[in-house]
Amino acid sequence: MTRITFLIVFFASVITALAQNEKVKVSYDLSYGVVNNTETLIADQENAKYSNTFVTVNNDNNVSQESENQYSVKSQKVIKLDKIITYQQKSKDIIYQVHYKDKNKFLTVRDSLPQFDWKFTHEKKEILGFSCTKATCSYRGSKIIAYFTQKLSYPFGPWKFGKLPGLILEVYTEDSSIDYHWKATQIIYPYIDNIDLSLDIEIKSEIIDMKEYVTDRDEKINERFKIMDSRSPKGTTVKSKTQRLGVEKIYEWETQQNQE
Amino acid sequence: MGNTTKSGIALLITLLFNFIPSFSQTTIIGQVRDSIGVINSASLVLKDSLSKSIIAFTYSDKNGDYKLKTQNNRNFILEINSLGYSSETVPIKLAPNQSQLRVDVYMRSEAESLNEVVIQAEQPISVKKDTINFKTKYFVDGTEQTVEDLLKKIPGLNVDSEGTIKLGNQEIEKLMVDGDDLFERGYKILSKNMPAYPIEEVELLKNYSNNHLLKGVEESDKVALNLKLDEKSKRIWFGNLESSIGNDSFYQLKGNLMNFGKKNKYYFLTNMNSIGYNATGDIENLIRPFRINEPASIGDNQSVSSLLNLSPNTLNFKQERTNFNNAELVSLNVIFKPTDKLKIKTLGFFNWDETDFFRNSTEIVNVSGTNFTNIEDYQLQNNKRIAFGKLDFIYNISKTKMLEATTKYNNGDFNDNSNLLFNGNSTIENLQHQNTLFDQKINYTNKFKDNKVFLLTGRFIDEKTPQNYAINQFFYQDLFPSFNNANNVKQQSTNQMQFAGVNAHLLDRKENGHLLELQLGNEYRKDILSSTFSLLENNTVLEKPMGYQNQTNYIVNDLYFKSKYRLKLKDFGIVAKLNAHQLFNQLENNNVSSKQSPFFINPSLGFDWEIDNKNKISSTYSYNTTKAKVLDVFSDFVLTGFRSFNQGTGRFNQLEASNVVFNYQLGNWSDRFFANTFILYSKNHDFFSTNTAIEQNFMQAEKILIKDREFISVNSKLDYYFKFMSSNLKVDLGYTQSEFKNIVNNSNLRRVTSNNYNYGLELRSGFKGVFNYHLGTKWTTTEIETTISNSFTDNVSFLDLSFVFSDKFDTQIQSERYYFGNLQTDNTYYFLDFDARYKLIDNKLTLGITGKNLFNTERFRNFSISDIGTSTTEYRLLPRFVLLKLEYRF
Repeated sequence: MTRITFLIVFFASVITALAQNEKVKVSYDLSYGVVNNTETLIADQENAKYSNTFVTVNNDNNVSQESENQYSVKSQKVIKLDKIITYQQKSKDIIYQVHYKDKNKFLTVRDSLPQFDWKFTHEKKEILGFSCTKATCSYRGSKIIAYFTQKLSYPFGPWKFGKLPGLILEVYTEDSSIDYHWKATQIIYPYIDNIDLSLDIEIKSEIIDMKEYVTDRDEKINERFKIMDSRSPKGTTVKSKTQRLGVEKIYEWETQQNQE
Repeated sequence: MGNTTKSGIALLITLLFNFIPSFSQTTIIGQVRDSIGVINSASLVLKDSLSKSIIAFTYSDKNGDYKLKTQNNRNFILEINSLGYSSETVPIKLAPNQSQLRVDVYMRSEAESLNEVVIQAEQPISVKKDTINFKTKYFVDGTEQTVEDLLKKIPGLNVDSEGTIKLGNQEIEKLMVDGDDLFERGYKILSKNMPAYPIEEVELLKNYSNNHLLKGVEESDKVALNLKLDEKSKRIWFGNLESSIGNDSFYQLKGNLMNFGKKNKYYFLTNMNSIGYNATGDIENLIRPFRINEPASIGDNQSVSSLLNLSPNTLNFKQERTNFNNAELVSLNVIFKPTDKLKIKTLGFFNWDETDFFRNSTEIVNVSGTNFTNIEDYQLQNNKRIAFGKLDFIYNISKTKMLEATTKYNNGDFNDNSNLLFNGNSTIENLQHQNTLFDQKINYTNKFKDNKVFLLTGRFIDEKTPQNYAINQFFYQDLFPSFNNANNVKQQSTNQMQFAGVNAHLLDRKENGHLLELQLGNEYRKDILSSTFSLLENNTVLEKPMGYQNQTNYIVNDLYFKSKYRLKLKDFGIVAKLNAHQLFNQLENNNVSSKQSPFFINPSLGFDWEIDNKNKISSTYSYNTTKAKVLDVFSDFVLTGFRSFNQGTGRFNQLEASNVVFNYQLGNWSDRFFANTFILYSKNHDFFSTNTAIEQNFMQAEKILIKDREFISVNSKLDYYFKFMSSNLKVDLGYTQSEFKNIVNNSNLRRVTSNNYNYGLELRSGFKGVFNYHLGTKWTTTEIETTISNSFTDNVSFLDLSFVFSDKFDTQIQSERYYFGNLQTDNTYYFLDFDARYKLIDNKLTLGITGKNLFNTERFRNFSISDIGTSTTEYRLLPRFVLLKLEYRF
């Protein structure tokens, strides 16, 4: 009798465990500036892996005909953006992002996120048939608007967003120089796949902190602006302001002052 | 079993805690499970039962346990969700001061959850790919005064010293305000004068089409900017006033007044100055916008050219240094939108200007046995008054059909007087001339399929330029030996043109992206040129000499069919064109008339290939046949200056030419290394040259048709950024060889070859601090070869320094050095200008000081060579002046 009970309990718990690890796959459409891309979130109850593909933005019309017999070639035709995979865990405030320059060249950035101070509103809207609640927060200098559904109980969302009582189906920046907008276009659940959502140990071995990464990146952008400034035409006084155009504008370790 | 014990303990704890007087925090704990076991990662949301506000939330852990904390003692509902289960809602009522409550949740599974469910959005989200928005507050730093200053701050946009706005290296098409275009290509009026502060957002429109129905169909790489105003600046009047006063009564007064509402937009602008500043800037672009390859742009290149011109020379030099002016300009610009479908644009423009120009020159002619030296001391005063009006109607018949009508009227009145000392003879020239233009254009656009557009355009232009020219001397005794008593000459002329054209244009964008364009049209142009040349003794006309009177009627009717195909294969693009023209020409010279109806085909083939991200090539070959213009075909001599007579061929001519263009680009503009090489070769199978008789007092040039000449131009620009010194080095190398043939004083056909070499270096910093520098030097070598050869090298160097001390205070210093290789004395000139600005009150009051020509260089000499000799010219310059500026915004 006990044995049978044990057997039943065991069996049941296996089923439960299976049910508990059901994955969900969400495709998001991201748009900002000229970029428009589809990105994918695969998550189970504990882990989430969010990735874009290498994005190539085609600027087809970069050869211009200036007059009857004169052509000029303009700015870069193809803009290539890195592939980035973002790893989140339900129980941790640390996010790992793996930036791939190409298949074999990558860099892992460890980011200790600040708390999302989500504020809930009564506003609701339906996205892909799910009733979603609007929540707002201020995140690293940007005002963020998110719509999440309690119905899909995953504390994740696109990119670094999450920590809400349900999956984020739409999120965008407001009051930002370039608006970022993610919106779910497809949801598959349960998503049956054996994909491993935990961060690859091999990748983990070369990790730099977000702060170091940001410093490096700003330095490179600064250099690029200097190149452009130093090529501006005679007689013009140009001083390009280095402005972070992404979602993250001010980091916790920086003062609220202008970063020059 | 275990759970019962647990909940028993929990209850005990709960009870225990109840006795502890805690006022604020309540903890709700519990476990989520189903009929089989615990549920991990169920979402638990605690809401206020009345307001439904979310108070707290959590997820259950691996054991199904959860814990929620709340600050308030109220009535709640707990919502529990887990994938594959139906949502549960549990009402919770906390007793006063209750600090803990246990709520266990049992969930029921949803049957369908075992199957994979795919939820898909009905259509992909549409993104405005060709539009980029920049919110200005993230880019401005408070130093920007005008729209131009603001646009300099937007990443990727460049504004050059002339005010030309470019994205990367490409000039923008227009600058709009809240979607309305006030100035077209004359946008500099707006960007240089409109204050920056009302602008909230700058919208960058890529692949822009002037005609919105052509969007996505035509091959467009145009870029336009749209300025969006903030709410508080809409429908209110605002503007600025800037006044500058300097020594020796130098002054400038600028004012802008504007109001931009949704239905109506107004822009008033005024500029008065005596500091050499040409406020009209690109006004020519407003009167005659010139768009190549733009659908519905027929007649843009049709205008009357004047026979005579008394105007300052164009110098290889800042024009404002020699422009002694007194200009007044007023522009009124209004856009009305009476209904959603109708837009009316009006533009009125008035310009008065009085300019003085001073020049001394010594011309040494040494050609075919003729030797002489002419010395001129020349003072020119030009007076002009221009009134221009334009009316545009844009009527959107439906979403796919549009009707546009443009009417233009221009009236110019010019009075030019020169006071000339020619080899010691005092000479007065007077030229009075007018320009009257009426221009009517109507265009109908129909986008009859998603990727097919049909345009029908009609245009009528009538333009007239009468000129009265008088010289109070008679220099042509040798030409007219029998008129010993003549002591002055006059010439009255009129050049009139009528143009009527119709054009039907079909654009068909194929599924694969290829573009087919077909055009059928007819353009009719009639020119009437009449000139009367008289020899006078005081006020009595002695003679109107034969061979110096013209009455020319010239009609060209061009019936054409044009086709163009653009093929795109990955990184390779080909453009093929075939244009067939059937002309019907009629020429009547002094009552002798002739007709001609030639047929010709102009083919062209071009490609562009992006080898990889760093290497790009493009090349075009074309064969062109161009028609002769009225100023090429008249039969008798006309006076075109105080000592020059010109004569046309008196015949029909078509000129044929082949052109090859090649461009190679290495790297991209924002890379550390960037280089561009441009080669142009053209061969004129026929061209117009001159048979000239040169005498000391006059020249007679007869137009002749000659075969074969060549032109080649090679230009390379290299940019390299040195990181260690944060500076960019620019190397500019150029070579031009041109060749032509002419006849001078009954010589044989002479071959004249001119070679030009230029090589320049520039270094410019991109420092982030207060200070920046820009220095450069450029050598130009000119070589002319006929029977003898002649050459010289000039050099121009500059050093500009910029100091931006703070948001409130900045200053710029510019210095220039000119060296003329062929001048024995006075061959080096220095200039120094400066500009400083201080903001007294942000967005209200700015104080500035500007100094020009601080070394007070009064004269400027330069040297040129030609196929008949050399000349040294000296110009008088605006003296040193310092202006005090005050700008007020309201």
